Amino acid sequence: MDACKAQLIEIWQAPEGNGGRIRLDHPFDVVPGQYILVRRASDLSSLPIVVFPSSKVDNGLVTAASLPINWTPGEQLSLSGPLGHGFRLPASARFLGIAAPDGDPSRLMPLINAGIRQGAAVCLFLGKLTERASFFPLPAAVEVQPLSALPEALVWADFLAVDIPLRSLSNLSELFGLKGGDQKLPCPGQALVRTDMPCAGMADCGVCALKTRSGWRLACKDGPVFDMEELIDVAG
Amino acid sequence: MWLDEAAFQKRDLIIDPPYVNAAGSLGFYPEVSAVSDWHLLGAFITNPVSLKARKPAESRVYIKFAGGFLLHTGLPNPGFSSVLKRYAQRWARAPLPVIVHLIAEDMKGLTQMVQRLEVCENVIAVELGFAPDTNADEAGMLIDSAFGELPIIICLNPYQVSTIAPALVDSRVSMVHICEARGMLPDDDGKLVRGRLYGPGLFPTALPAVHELAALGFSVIGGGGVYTNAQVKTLFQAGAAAVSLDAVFWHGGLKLDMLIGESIEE
Repeated sequence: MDACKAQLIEIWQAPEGNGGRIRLDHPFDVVPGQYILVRRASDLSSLPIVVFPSSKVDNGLVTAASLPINWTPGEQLSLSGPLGHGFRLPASARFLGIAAPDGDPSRLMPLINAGIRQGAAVCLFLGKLTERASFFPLPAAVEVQPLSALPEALVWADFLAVDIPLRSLSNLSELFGLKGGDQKLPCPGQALVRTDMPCAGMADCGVCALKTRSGWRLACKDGPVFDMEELIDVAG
Repeated sequence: MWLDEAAFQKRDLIIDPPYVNAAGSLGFYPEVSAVSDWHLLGAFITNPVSLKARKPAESRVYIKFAGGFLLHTGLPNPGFSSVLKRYAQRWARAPLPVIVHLIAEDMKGLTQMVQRLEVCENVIAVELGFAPDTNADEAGMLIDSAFGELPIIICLNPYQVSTIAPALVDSRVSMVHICEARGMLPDDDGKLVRGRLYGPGLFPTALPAVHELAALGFSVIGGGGVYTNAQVKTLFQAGAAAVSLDAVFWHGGLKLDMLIGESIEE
């Protein structure tokens, strides 16, 4: 796995932690949902941070709020990746329902932007909406709804996506209002499953293992984005 | 005709260059893209393999602490037969010799696994990992049951060295590998979790274990918390015949020659 040099040039505080802008030596293509490993260039004493880019900017990228609080602008960084499997947004998708139950849509921003670029209407369902309604700058084209309205998206959406921690996967069907024998989504959907991934696919260490309809899978290697039908009523 | 007594004794094993990865640090086979400088390692040690498949632990967890982290996973693996089916060909084609790490649970199962590994191309040794509560007698019996054509390496954590190693001085063990120490930390919910410890904070526990084993006359693979070239040199000075690296591989884009290159030249 090769690494490239980078520099942290700006940080900001968000309710979930610090986000930042990273300048890169060369272009870095990341599929929405894929992750990168970032560490201080001179530091081997702690494991790299798993970072999900939230957008690309000139000469670099903007990260979701996951940077250590003691990193300051000017840090020399080492980046490796992109790693894992990201979202596969169908080219035909025109109505996207995207959910961030914890209220932080930053990891889903690349998917939101990809949807807008292909002319889709995007509705973002946010948990904790009142706490942080105006914090994250969203494109004007995005409609924002409370998370409780997510089940209504099953009527009109032709693609659904959610960003959810591993420990909450057992609540996935409840999130979409699926009950009883009616446990299938009416359209394709994918979930970005967040969990610790210390080995980042190097060792199959198993910390990020999750149960899917096809058996045990590793979020670091087989994910972190999984088809929703693999997870609903199975995963944990 | 009397059989040569040496046929019943330990097998010689030389790891050259004298560096390996620790079991659990780089997966089940040496994936070419994972490490750019495989030629700097003398052998590849697989993830722990058990006779039957093991699922991930219900309470699997990664907990950071100052100086490293604790990992509790349950050592998930698809089981010996599946591992052999999936990886034996890859081991045969690997750019370096392979040592298969076996979870030493019962004697009969261990014998079966070792016999099947003896015919695998490019597998040069087996490494036995014991449960944390294994005593010296049990370890001795497990080693005997694994004895065959392949050299045996045993993994001991630093706390097992003084309790198990002295009884194994005349055993059929070719090398002793100091593996990660074990510890306990509270998880996010405050529940106490036992697991393997990794990180630079572990080095001071590994070093005396290497020293003690070398003094007993064992050929030692020193490991645990090795993150700098100076630590590599110190382990050799303490008597290690080889050095193992573990979670340092998980730092994306690690250049191995920065860590061990200078030591090789010496």
